[in-house]
Amino acid sequence: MVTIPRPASGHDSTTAAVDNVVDVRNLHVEFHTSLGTVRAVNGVSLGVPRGKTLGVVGESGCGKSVTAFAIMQLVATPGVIAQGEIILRARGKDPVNLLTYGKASDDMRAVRGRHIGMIFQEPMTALNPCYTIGNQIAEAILLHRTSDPAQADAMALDILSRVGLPSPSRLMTTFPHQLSGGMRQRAMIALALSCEPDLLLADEPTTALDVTTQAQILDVMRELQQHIGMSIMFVTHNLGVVAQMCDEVAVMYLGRIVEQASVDELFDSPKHPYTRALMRSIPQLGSGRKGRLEVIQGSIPGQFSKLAGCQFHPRCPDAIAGVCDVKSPSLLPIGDGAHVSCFLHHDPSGSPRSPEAVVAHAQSMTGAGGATVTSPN
Amino acid sequence: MATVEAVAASQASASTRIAEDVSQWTLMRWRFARNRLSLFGLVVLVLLYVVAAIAPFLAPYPYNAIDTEYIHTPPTPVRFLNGQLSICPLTQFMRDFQWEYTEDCDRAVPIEFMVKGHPYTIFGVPFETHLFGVTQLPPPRTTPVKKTEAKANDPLAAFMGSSGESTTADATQPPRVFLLGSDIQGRDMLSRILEGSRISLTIGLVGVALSVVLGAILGTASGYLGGLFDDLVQRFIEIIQSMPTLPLWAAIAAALPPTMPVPQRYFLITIILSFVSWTGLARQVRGKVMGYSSLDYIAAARLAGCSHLRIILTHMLPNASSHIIVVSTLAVPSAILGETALSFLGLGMLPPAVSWGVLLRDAQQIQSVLLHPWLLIPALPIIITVTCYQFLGDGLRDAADPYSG
Amino acid sequence: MITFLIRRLLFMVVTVVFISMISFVLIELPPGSALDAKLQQFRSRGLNVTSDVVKSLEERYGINDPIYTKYWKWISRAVYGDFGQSFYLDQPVSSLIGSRIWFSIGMSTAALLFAWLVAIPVGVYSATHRNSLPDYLITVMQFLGVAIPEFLLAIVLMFIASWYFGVEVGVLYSKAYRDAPWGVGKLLDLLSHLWLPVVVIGTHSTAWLTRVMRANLLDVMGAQYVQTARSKGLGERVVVWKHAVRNALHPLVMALGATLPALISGEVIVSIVLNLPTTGPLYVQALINKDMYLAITFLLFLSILLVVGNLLADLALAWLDPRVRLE
Repeated sequence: MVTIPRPASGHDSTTAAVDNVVDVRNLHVEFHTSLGTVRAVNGVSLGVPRGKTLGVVGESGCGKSVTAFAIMQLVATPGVIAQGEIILRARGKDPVNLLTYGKASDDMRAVRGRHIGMIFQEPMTALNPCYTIGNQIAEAILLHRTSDPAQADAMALDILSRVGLPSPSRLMTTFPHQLSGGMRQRAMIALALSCEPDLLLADEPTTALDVTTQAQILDVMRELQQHIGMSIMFVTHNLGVVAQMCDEVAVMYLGRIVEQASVDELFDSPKHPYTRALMRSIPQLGSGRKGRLEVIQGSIPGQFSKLAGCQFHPRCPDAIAGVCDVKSPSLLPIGDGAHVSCFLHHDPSGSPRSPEAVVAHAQSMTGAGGATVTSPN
Repeated sequence: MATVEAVAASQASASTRIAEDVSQWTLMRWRFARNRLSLFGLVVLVLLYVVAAIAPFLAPYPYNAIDTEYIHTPPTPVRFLNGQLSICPLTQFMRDFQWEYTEDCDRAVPIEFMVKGHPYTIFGVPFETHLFGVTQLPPPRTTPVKKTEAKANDPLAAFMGSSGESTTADATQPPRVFLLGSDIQGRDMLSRILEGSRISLTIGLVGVALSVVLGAILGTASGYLGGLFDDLVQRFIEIIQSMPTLPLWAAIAAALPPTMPVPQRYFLITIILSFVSWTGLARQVRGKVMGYSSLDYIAAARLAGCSHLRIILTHMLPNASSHIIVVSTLAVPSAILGETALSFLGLGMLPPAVSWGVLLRDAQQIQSVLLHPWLLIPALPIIITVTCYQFLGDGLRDAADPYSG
Repeated sequence: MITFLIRRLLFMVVTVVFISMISFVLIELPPGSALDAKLQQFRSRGLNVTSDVVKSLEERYGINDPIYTKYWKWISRAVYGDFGQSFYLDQPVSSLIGSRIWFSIGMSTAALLFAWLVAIPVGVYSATHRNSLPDYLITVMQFLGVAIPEFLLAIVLMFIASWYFGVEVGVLYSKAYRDAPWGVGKLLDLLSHLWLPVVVIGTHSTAWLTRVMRANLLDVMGAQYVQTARSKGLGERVVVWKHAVRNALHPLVMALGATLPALISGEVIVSIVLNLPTTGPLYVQALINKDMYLAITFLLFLSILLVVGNLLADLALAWLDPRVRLE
C-alpha cells in the first residue's frame, strides 16, 4: 500500500524538540456537559518538527481533532482548556506560550491565520456560501499582510494559482457552491496558506473526498509545504495517508498520546500494544480473502467512565495485572528515538526496559497462570 | 470536535439501546418530560380545561345575571374579619356622573364555601352547589348612612338626585362578591370569564381539529396522487395563503347573520377559522407523504398488493402523526387569537354568547378602561392560554424531532 | 434572473385574478346586500319605499344578476381604476380607498422595518449570549409578544401613552398642524403620532422574528465556516456579523411570507382600536354594512399588498443568497 517514497527518517525527537514549531505539553481539554465532564484531551504532549509533517492518528473520539482546535484556542463550547502549555516558535519571533493569550485576545487573533492556518474535514461546509472565494481569501490577507485591497486580491490570486485550480482569476468571483468538493478543499487550502503560516493544522482534510481527489490534495499540500517551508500537523485516522504524508506520527488513544515515533519506526516496529493492534487491522493487498482482519478486542469505554491505570489496559492483550490497571504510564523516550507510554517498555520507575526484559516479563506473567490478562469488558 | 461526535454517538447508542425495548411514542414522552417549560404548559392547560368544564361550579353567579345596583363595581376586597374571610357590603352612589361605592365593614358578612346557589348542569347532571358565595344577610344598619364630606359639599350629588344611599343599604339580598369586579350591567366578571373560557378554549381547538382533518385528507391525497390534483390543490393553497388572514376571516364572518343562534354561530366560526389554517397543515402533510412514498417499505407494501387506501392509512398517516400533532398544537394559539380578534371586532361570537374576545369588547373605549381597569382582566387568560400552547408545542416539536431547531 | 422575474410577475398576475374572484364570491355570495341596508336607512328616515322603487333600484344596481355577470361588470371596470360605488357612503370606492391604502402600506412597511431593526440585533444578542439572564428575559418577552393580541397591546400602550406621556391618541396630527400645508414640521408631527401604532403593529412580528433569528444564528454559529472565519484570525464581532448573521438572515427573509399577513392583519385591527384613517376601520364598517364593492376592493388591495410583498421578499432572498440567484 505504501509506495510513495518518503523523506529519509532518522531524526531524533530528543534533539528535534528544540526545533519544534509547536510544542504541546500536558494539555488537558474538558467538556462540561449536563451529563458530566468529558476529559477529551487528558495530558497530551507532542511536538511538530519544523518543516516536517506530524501525523496524529487514532480512532474517532480519541481527542485528536480537539487537540488541533486547542492549539488554535478554538475549542467549541462547552469545551475548555483546563491546563497545559502550547509553545509556538514562529519564524523571527520569540517562543511564546499561546495559552497565556486570552481566547479572544488580539494577540491570539494575530496568531490565527498568520502563524497557524487550519483546514477542515468537510470542504462542503468550511467555506461561507455567501461570499466569493476571492473575498474569503482576501479577507485573511487584509487582516495580516496588507491593507491594500488590490494587493490583497493579487496575493489571493497568486495563492489560488498555486493550489492547482483551473482559471484562478475566474475563481476569485466564484461562490463555493459552484465548486466540487475537491476544488473547495483546494480553495480552503489556499485560504489557510494565504498568509504563509509556520504551521498548518489539517483536521482530516481528505476524509470526505474520494481516493483520486485525496491523492491530488495531498500532493498540493506537500508542494506548498516545500514552497512555504511550513510544518503540518495532520490529523487523520487513515494510516495509509499517514504513511504517505508524514515524517513523524503520534498515536492517540482516549485523550492521550500512547506513542510518538518517526513514521518508519512506527510502521516497522510499533511499540505500544494499541499501535500494534492498529497496524494489524490495516487490510493488506494480496493477503487474499482467507486472511481475516484483526479487530481490537473490546470497545472504547464510555465518555464519563473513569479508568484507573493505563486507559488501554481493559483491551490490551499484554496488560500486566497489578501494574497497568493501577498506575498510569507516562510518555517516555525509549532507546531508539521513539516515545512510548507503556509499562511493557519502561518500568513504573521510568527507566526503559530492554526488549528481552519485556519478553521475559510477558512470559513470566503468562506462566503465572494466565489470569493476569484483564478480560475485555 | 471528535469529542462532540463521540458524545452524540454515545447518546445515539444509548437511545438505540433504549429503542430496543420501547416504542417511538414512549421515547417521545420521555424527551417531552425532560422539558420543564412544556410540562408546565401542559399542566396549566389541563387545569384551564378542567376549570372550563366545571365553570358554573366555580362561578358564584349566573354569567348573565344583571344587577343595576352594582354597575362597574371594582373587584371586591376580601378581608379577614371576625375570624373569617369576609366582604363588606357596598353602598352605591353617583359622583361626577360615575357610580362609586363605599364599604361598610361593620356589617361584614363571611364568604362561605360549597354553598347552595343558582342551579346549573355539568354534562347534563344538575347541581346547585357552588365553590363559594355569600348567602348571609348583613346585620341591620346601626348608624345612619354617613355621607362623605366631599359628597356633602358636592352640589352635583344633590343635582344628580342621588342621596348617596341606595337600596342595598338594608337589602333583602346578601351583598355580592365580585372578585374581579363587575361590568356595565353589574354582571360578575369572574363568572363571565369562567363562562367565556368554555367558548374561547374550545373554539380554537375545534377549529384546528377541523383543519387537521381537512389538511390531512387533502395533503395526503395531494402528495400521494400527485399530478393534476396536486397542482390544483397547491395553487389553491397558494392563493388562500396570499390573502391576509384577519381580513379574510372578517370577510367570511361578516356573512353570518347576526341573529343566528349561538351553537350554530359557534360551529360556523370554527369552520371559518379552519378555512385558513388547513392550508399550512396540508402542505406539511403533503411534504411528509411525498417523502415516504420514495421509501422502501412503501414500495414493499405496494408490491405486497396493499390498496392505496391501506397504504395511506396504515403506513403513511401513522408515521406522519407525531408531526401532525406538533403542527396542530402550534396552530391552536393563532386560532384562539383569531376568534378573540373577530369577537373583539364584533364579527365573531356575539352577545349574549360570552367569550374572552366578547368580554374585551367592553374594553374598546379607552375612557372606559381608564376608569375601570378591571375590564382588561379577560386578556389575562388569553395570554396565559396562548403562552402555554406555545410552550407545549415547542416541547412537542423538540420531543418528536430532537434534531430540528 | 430576468426570466425568474418575469415568471414571478406572471404568476403574480394570475394569483391576483384568482384572489379577485375569491374575494368577490366570498363577499357577494351571502344573502343580504347593501341595498337592504340602504332601504333600511330610507325607511328609518320615514321615507315611504314602495316595491316599485325597490325593483327599479335593484335593476339599476344589477342586484339580481347572476354572480358571474356581476363579477365581469365589476372587474372589467376595475381594470381602469373604477371599482364601483360605495352604496353606503355614496362615493366612488377608488376615492375612498386611495389615501387610506397608502397609509396602510406606510404603516405596514414601517412596522416591518421596526420588527427587523429590533429583531435582528436582539436575536443576535440572545444567541451569542445563550443561557445568560438577558437571554432568558428575551425568551420570555418573545413568548409574551406572540401571546398578547395586538388590539390588547394597542389598548394598553394607548393607555400608557395618554396617561403618562400625554400623547394624543387616535389622531394623526396635532391641532396646530391639522390644516397646515405640508412641511417638515407637519411631517415630524405626523411621525410623532405614528410611532405608537407602528410599534404595536410590529410587536407580534418582532417577537416572532427574534425567535427565528436566535434559532437560526445558533444553527449557523455551529457551522464549519464560522470556525474557518475564526481560524483566519477575525475578531468575534466580524465573525458574527459578517459570516454568521448574513447566513442566518436567509430563513428570516423566507419568513417574510408569514410575517406580512400578520402585519397586515395587525394593521387592520390596530387601526380600528386607535381609530386611524387607514383601511382597517373602513373595511370592517364596509363588511358590517354589506357595502360590497368597498369591502371587495379593500380585500383585493390588501391581498395585492401581500403578493407584492412576497415578490419583494423573493427578490431580497435572491440578492442575499447567491445559491438562489444562480438557479
